[in-house]
Amino acid sequence: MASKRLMSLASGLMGASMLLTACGADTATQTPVLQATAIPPTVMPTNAPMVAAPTNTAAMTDSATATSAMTVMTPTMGMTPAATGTTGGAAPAAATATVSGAGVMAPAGAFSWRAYAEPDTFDPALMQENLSIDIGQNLYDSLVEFNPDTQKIQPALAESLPTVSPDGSVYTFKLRKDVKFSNGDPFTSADVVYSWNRVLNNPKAPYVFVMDDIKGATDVEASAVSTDTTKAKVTTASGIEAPDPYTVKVTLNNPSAYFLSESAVWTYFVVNQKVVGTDSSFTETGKHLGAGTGAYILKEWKHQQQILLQQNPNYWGSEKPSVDVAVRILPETATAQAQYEAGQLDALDGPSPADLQRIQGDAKLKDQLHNVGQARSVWIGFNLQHGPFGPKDDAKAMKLRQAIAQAIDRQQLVELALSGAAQPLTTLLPKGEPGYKEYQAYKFDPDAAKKALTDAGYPGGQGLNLTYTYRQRDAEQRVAEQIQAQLKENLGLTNDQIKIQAVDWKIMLNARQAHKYDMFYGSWGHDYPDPQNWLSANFQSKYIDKGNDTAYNDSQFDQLTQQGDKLADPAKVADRMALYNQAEKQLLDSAAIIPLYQTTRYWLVNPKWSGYNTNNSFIFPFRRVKLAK
Amino acid sequence: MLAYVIRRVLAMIPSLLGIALITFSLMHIPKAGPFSSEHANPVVTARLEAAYGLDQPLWPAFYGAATGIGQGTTLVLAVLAVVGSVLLRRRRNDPIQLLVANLLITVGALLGVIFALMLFQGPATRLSGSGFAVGQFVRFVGNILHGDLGTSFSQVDRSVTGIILDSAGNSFVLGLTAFVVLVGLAMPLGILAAVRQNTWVDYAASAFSLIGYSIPNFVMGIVLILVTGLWLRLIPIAHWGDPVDLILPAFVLAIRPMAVLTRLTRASMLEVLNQDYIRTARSKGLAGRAVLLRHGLRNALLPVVTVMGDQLGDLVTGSLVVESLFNVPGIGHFFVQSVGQLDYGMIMGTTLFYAALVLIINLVVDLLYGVIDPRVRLGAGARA
Repeated sequence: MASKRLMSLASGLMGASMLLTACGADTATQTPVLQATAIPPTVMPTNAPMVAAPTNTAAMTDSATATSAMTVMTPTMGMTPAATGTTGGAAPAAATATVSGAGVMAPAGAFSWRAYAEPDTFDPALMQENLSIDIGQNLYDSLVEFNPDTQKIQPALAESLPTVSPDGSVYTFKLRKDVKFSNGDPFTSADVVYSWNRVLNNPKAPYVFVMDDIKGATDVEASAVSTDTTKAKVTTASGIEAPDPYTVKVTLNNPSAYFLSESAVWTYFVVNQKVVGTDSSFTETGKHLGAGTGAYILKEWKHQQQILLQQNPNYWGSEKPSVDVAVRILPETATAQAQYEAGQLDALDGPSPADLQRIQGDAKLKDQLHNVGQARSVWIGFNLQHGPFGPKDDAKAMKLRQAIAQAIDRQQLVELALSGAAQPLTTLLPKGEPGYKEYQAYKFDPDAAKKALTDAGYPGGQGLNLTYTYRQRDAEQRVAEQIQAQLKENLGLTNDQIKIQAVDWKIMLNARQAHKYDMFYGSWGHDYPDPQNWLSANFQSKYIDKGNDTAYNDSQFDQLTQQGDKLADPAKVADRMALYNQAEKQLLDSAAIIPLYQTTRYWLVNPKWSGYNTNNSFIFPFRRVKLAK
Repeated sequence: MLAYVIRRVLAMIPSLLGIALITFSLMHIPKAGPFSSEHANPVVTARLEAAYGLDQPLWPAFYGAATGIGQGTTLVLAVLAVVGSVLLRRRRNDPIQLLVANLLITVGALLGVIFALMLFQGPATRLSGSGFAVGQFVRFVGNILHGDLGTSFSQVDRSVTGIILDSAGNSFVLGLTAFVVLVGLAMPLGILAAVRQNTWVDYAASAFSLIGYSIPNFVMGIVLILVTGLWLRLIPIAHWGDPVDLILPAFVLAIRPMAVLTRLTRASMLEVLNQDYIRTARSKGLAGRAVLLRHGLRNALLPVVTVMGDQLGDLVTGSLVVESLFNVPGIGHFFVQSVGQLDYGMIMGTTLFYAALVLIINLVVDLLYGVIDPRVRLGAGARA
């Protein structure tokens, strides 16, 4: 009897597998709408694609090794009923029940674009990570925006650039009167006041600091998390006012030249007060429809699969969208690459660096590959607070920093470590950024470097014990190995004298801010294209412990940047940039950082589309994408 | 039997609590927080931490003016309880006094641990005013009792429970399919290899196992994608939603455990088939099939089922590599990513979910032992 049960278990398991395969085959024949039949065979690439290493190679080892307890007793015929077939029998039923139904496919005619991960959120108050912003900027607008081509600030929901008070602390925006939210609701200044205060009141808003310059903003921020019941809650910032339905007046604590740039950041996106109301998780509950004024509506968000962006029929701008967008969430680059080459994907942002060479050599693919130097630069940072590289003005420490600066061959580093997917950079601000000015403080010169090392008191590296700490990631690992190799080659340092150490990003951020590392990976990608965002926020002495990780402390630099931060007069832009250029030179001459490279962004786009372009920031409105004629 | 199951299910509670405690302690070791950022704005970080309750101490603690008195009282109470217990314990013959003594020593030990924790974690300076805070761990456990695992920090405002419910089902279906493929192929192959030992069948099975075990699953996955999706254009690449989509990922997921299980089945079968009682069965004239299945396989199955249980646990909990290669909206991704992001709620939620799943599978395996081997008796009935 027992053996029969056993037999039925075994055969059940085997039968289940056959059943499943059969049912799979069935559906394949019943549904001829599979992509396979839709793709013309001519799209086959001429040469075989290389097998690119996947980005996520970390194998998952589960804790499923817990041993089962069992009790062996004297042989009696106490059999356990049930249990038989629970695993085998349930399998096909569960499988068909959950997986049946139409699969997630990009709708026909839509522009399918690859997202490398699941976006965090589409609530402007909560956005901080690139993908949310990349997509979110198609759903919402702020009063002013950056021109995608020139990066110059231009009016968006405002009808013109704001008027600025002579002292640079009051900005008055006149709003467009013809703007509607995507559900047809009219857009007024009340929505602006509501949206901005909404961010200040949300304690989870990670980018709220771009509003700190507005009068009363920090009071609202503090009040939102205060547990002190004796004080009345402050929920509106006094600096945000709406004198009439089409005017917004912003009063700042201090004159600010970069406020206009800040106000184009996603944190300032305007949402529809009537739709969003008090719902803090409105994008999760489907209330996102009609929440924005952008060229697109967030039509559907299928987690880990696809996000559908539909053209907004009420879009106010002159550049109307002409195609819906299907954002395909594809974390694995190798898979996305295969999909692109099979014609299942129209644009692939960020092909694997390991695949670049093959793509560039492929007759068909090479014309579909584009690139731009990104607004992100990478440098070696030195600890000026303690350790061998500090203090800043110590002659020997200075010589040591100089020795390393002159021993780094950027061209070689970029070619060997990054397969050319970056450009050598000798300044903090990358090329293409407003305020960029070519400058090189220390040229690659191994002889001078060796001499500087001797002058620093370490002839031939004797007595040196350095560690370069970098972010634990493939690209940074290769760069670190290159730095180590170059210092060995050009300064004669042994691997004991210059060690490299990988640290998890979050831990690195904390330790770097606490000045725990002597020599470390530093990088910055701008929040908005303004030199203030590069220089002031990262190197002014008041930010030591709060982002000024080198602990760079220079009163002249502080003065120059502070002057630039305040110079709000649009007529004096050139003077303002000159101030920042001078400050940057001051920083580079001190060798507090050694700029290494600017990252390059690559993308593939099917030539049947035109208008898909990305600039050095993260601005690429989908509304420009059109079917090529 | 039922009593046994109930007892085992109840025993899962302390197991899960222990796992929660260990996970919670481990994830707070890195000197970083989920809101560490390049911007390093202390106001923003403090707001975020307050919003998610991370300004609370990890463990129970007094704060503000109450700290000294509170901690002192805890210590005094702990000492009093222990001393009282020792005094009561002197008169052992009174069962009630003994019970009270046991209770007192438990309370004393608990208070002592709390006192040590309070000293160890330092003062809870981030809270204003004064009073007692139960701490993040106790609060977390309390929330679980309401079925609330908290919200994710990275998938902002999505509940951890919601994310698990959305994604675990897909991983589970894929894992079960892979398990069916695994067992359906590995067992017959293993049996066949044992019966036809040292023939070409055996060698082919060995070669298959070796190859299956040696090829990393991301290589196998990419090759399969390229061949079926790009070169032959049989199926859309990394599509999800139709039953046919399960075939490739399930196969890639199953191939490695399949190799293990084939070898194990073969070895276990061989051992059994060389036993005397098999020879007896054969000599008394039983049909080859009956000998093989009733006397052979049945006895060879115990170690196989043990390993199968572990493999099932492995398969249904999802795999980062296979899920991202085939773009399966499963849970493997969240489990791995949450660690790098220090997404506390997700770490705790996914770990506990996995733990519960593995415990349940273990229970099922134990119940299966009873079915396979009559010598195995489970539960209180066995004692009769």
